[in-house]
Amino acid sequence: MAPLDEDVVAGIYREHAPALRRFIGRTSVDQSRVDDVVQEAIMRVWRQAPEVTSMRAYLFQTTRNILIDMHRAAGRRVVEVAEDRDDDSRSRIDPRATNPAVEIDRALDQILVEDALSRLQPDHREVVLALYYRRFTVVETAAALGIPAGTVKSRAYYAVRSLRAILDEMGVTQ
Amino acid sequence: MSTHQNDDELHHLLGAFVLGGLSGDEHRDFTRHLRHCETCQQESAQFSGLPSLLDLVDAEDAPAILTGVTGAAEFSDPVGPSSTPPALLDAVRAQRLRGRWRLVAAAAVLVVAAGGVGVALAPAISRLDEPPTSRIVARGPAGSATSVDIALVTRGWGTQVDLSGSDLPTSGVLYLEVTDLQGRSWDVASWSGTPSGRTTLTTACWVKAANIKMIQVHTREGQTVAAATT
Ligand SMILES: [Zn+2]
Repeated sequence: MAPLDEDVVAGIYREHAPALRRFIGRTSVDQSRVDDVVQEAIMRVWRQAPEVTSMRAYLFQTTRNILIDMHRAAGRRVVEVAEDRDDDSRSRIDPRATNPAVEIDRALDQILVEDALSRLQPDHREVVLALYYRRFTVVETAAALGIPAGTVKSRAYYAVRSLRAILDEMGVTQ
Repeated sequence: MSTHQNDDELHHLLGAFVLGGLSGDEHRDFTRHLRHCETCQQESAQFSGLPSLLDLVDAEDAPAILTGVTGAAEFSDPVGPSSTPPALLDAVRAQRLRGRWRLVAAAAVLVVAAGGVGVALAPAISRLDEPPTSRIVARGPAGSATSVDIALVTRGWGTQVDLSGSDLPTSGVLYLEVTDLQGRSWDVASWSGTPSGRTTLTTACWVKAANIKMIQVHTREGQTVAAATT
């Protein structure tokens, strides 16, 4: 017998809600709506019951679409109000504000990269941190982590491969 | 030493080549290797997008994100509920009882089940599913900070009006007035000013949303506090 739907949804929520919340928090959506958007995304995905390789990727994509819909609705509202006012206020409208997809996609990529980094093995992750973000050399990294330079190199290699595989799974093709 | 590495070791330099950190000698050796190694060429092409993706994470934030705890749970999550929101489970339960094919009902159930949140949530969610909602912002006269968010939700019986205002008058009675395309007006809600200047309420009127031309908040004396046309 299949598990109860409530259990399925609770499982999805437990596993993915924090990451979705983080993603939504990076966008300019009204922050009092973060949890509503998370719930809406999970409801949609649960209703659609998609056969996908990565539930997480599907949830992120669904959340992205909800956010873009919300921004478009808000964007229309801003324009409508502006048209009722004088020319001064109309000139204050930023045309970029009506194209929310750029901001949202950037936030999504950022979250997916963080997510991918967090899913690396810890010893791979610390090598990425040292080499890429701290700009250490291989030798400096070896000294800082107390491992041979050769180990730093091979960990860097496997870290990069894992990172690429995780990002591919999440639909990040860049 | 670097010039005597075998091919296996050289293959593995690709990681540090992508991430940075190779010494000058190693960098030179690997670049030379890359010229004739098809395996590394292919992999290097796959990895070429990684630096710009990694750059999306700020180097200042990276240590906090990457150190310490393992797995996705490492990110601090100060505001979110730790267990599944009852509203979400209620919505699932309700929908399961009705049968999965009645999909449209789910969003509405979710809104109702969300209780207190429902009022604020309704405009956003209903926009996405149903019923149709239009949203406008009514503002006060020049120099006033008053701002009133209004959602007009189409219902079978007329229009549900969700209002959320800030910097409203803090005393006296306020009225919400709806004017239709023919210029006829009705007060559809009244309330007393609050010390915070904030008010959130939901009211109803029989006029169809499509026929509403203007919405105003005014005082008992008829002075306009905020207005917007649809
Ligand atoms: Zn090679």
